[in-house]
Amino acid sequence: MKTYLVGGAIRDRLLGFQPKERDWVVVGSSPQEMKSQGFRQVGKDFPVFIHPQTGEEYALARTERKSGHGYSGFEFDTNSNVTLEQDLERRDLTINAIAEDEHGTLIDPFDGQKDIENKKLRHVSDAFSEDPLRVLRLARFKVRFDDFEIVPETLDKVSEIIESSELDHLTGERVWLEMYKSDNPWLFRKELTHLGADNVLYIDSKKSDGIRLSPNMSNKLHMISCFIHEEVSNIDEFCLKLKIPNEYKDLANLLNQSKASIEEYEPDTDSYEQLIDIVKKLDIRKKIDLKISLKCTPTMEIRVRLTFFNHS
Amino acid sequence: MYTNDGNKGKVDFFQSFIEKLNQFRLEKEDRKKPNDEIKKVIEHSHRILAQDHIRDYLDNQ
Repeated sequence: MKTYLVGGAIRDRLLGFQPKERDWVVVGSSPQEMKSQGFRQVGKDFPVFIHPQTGEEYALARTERKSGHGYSGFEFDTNSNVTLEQDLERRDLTINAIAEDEHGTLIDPFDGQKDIENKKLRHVSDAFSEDPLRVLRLARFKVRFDDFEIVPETLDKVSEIIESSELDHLTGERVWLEMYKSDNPWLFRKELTHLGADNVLYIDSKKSDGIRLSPNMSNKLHMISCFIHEEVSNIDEFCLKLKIPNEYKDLANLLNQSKASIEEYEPDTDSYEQLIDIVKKLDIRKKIDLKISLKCTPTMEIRVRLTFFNHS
Repeated sequence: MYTNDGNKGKVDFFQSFIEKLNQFRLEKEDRKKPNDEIKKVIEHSHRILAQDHIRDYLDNQ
């Protein structure tokens, strides 16, 4: 049995970023052997094990075979003869298909390092087009690594996926998860549009102008809720389709109401309670950190942080 | 209502009100009061700030 560090941790380190988490692949082992060494098995679809001390994820090397529609339509083979190279070959992009052994030697059969150096997003194998989720992952990586270019061959693979209608088989939860993981939902949508796959978000666009309530981009709840508020016409329907948690839906609806209240508000001597009410509502969770500004007129943009009732 | 530049006036109006709210601090002696009294002090102060803010705005029209 041999273990290798693999995927995002290697990629991020080569790019000079601090890896968020470490994933490991185990070659030449079995579920029984893993459990006998104290690993705890998780995951229904394929065997993933949690290390008893570090809590990090160890997955048995596996191959995949398409057996149905969508992200979950795969059969996995995790027998102990599956090689590291076979496991790397089933991965999405070359930059995510680099492994490192216990001596620090990189195993890079698909030239991921070269693609990192040349800033290219490139699929590993023809199997890329078997998994529709990879279109969303590609868009997410393009947002994260915005100076990278998607190579034409990979764009062809995306077109294959779109033409096959496989995107229709993605569940709302998976789409939501990729949107959640993206660093910026506006850019995520833009990249999906470039790829010709923005329909997967089920967004019934609305015209958004006038006053803008822009979020603190380091707060996922505020950022995504603000995206929904700005971009989506029917918030409740959208959140239901993608199974988005209620706190996002509620905040997006609150932002809609607040924007309307601000735009409708007209100051007069009796309107002070109304003014306080509008501002208080935006602070409903006592931690909201939004900015009011004008959309469509960037030169006039005025930003104000709302951090109320924190006076003690 | 918000002068010739439409929403710009509204943004200015809300922006300056929010700045006033954010600058507000409880007096030392008020901080020692029980929570429900502190809440009343804050609400009263916000009301005064809102009334003054609206009055200033209307006076400048």
